[in-house]
Amino acid sequence: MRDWPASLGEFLRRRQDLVRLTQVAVLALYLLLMLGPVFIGPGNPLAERLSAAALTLFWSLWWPGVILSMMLVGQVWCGLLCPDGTVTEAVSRHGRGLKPQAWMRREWLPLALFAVVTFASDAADAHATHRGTLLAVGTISLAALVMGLFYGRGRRIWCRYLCPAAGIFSLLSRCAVLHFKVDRTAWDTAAKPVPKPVECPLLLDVRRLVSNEKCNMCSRCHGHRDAVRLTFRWPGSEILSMTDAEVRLWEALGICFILLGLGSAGARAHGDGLAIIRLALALGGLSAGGLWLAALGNVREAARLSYGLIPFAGMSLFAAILPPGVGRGIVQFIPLAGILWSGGLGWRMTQAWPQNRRWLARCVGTALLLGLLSIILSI
Amino acid sequence: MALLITNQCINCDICEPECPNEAISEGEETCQIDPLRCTECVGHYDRPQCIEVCPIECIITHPDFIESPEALMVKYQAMR
Repeated sequence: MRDWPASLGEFLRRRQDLVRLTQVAVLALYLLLMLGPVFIGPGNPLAERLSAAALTLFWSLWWPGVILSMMLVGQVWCGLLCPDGTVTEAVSRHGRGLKPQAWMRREWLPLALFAVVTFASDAADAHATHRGTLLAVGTISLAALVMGLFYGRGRRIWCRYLCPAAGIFSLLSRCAVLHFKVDRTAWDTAAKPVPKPVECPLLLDVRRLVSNEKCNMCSRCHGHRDAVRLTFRWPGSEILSMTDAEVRLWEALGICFILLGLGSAGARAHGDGLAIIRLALALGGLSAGGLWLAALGNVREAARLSYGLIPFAGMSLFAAILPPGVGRGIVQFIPLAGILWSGGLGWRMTQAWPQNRRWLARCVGTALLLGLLSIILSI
Repeated sequence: MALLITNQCINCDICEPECPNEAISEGEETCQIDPLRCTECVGHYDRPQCIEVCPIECIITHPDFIESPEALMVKYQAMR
């Protein structure tokens, strides 16, 4: 019973035919909702119904559901269901197969693209209309299609290097309880020559895989060399075990200003670009400043602590994008749950610090989380 | 000429099983090619298979192992 993730991983690996079938069904639904109203024509009652269904499905169910799923089970959506991933991988099998250039492989690029797309779509309130949704979501899908036509050979170059949503998915999925664990001893002692390369559509370094950061959870690597297994871990344990080399300053700024700042601001002040910028800078600045203070000016430690903010930022974003029908009590409780999760991580991240610094950091961290919560609940 | 995998390698593991000479292995940081076993696929294929399958451009000619096609063929035959 305890090892059901391994059974699930094995099932998904063996039944990629079912996965593909599901992906095609999701893609068909996506195309129907996105393009149906365009082809049927405005004014037609069927087009109106499809438009309304698209808006409800995308913004009331899909987007909140995806954000929450990233934090709980990792990027399962991306690997098993996402129509953009399905399209980019499928067309790349017949595309030009070019190799992605160095500029495309900049680590911070997806997060920067997410900031641009989120600001533009929230400032224009694109979520309110079918046309706006088509422009925001459809443009990304078109980009995924074009990338697949030109780059990679049966791979997901788009998902790994450019997908804007992956910019925040890679942060949120570090909290998840599911991950692929690699037994290095089994990997290194596997019989040589290896009969086939590890199957990873994102071209990840599976041998050294310790992070959910880029993993799409497609399960195709499960069982490779008898060393890779889908398994459980404690929520947030990846954040607690990050090495110094894995802590990135640009990512810390992204957590503060984009995931927490822009994510929360865009969803709460949509339609007002200036208000979004002001609120994003306020939330981001408060977070970054608070962490810097908690770490007594040590930028590296402040950056490390910022990863502890991911659960709170994710929960705040999730609460902000829930549909209006959800009760106010639930919407207010969700960021509170995020506070407890982030607070717990911060507590453990500072466990090994000298006592006086530890307690100062915890006091500042608590004040920071409560300050952020009060701002978010007051918007 | 033997080939060399640069530090741009993303360790995607695709090239290792493709090498007909079993010259590619997982190094400490990135995959590596044993220049004493690499024939640039001379004797097996028209073009180096690792370069063909590498999803990024990280395999170059090894500057310290410049060999003619004839020398590579001799190397290939010696390994058979």
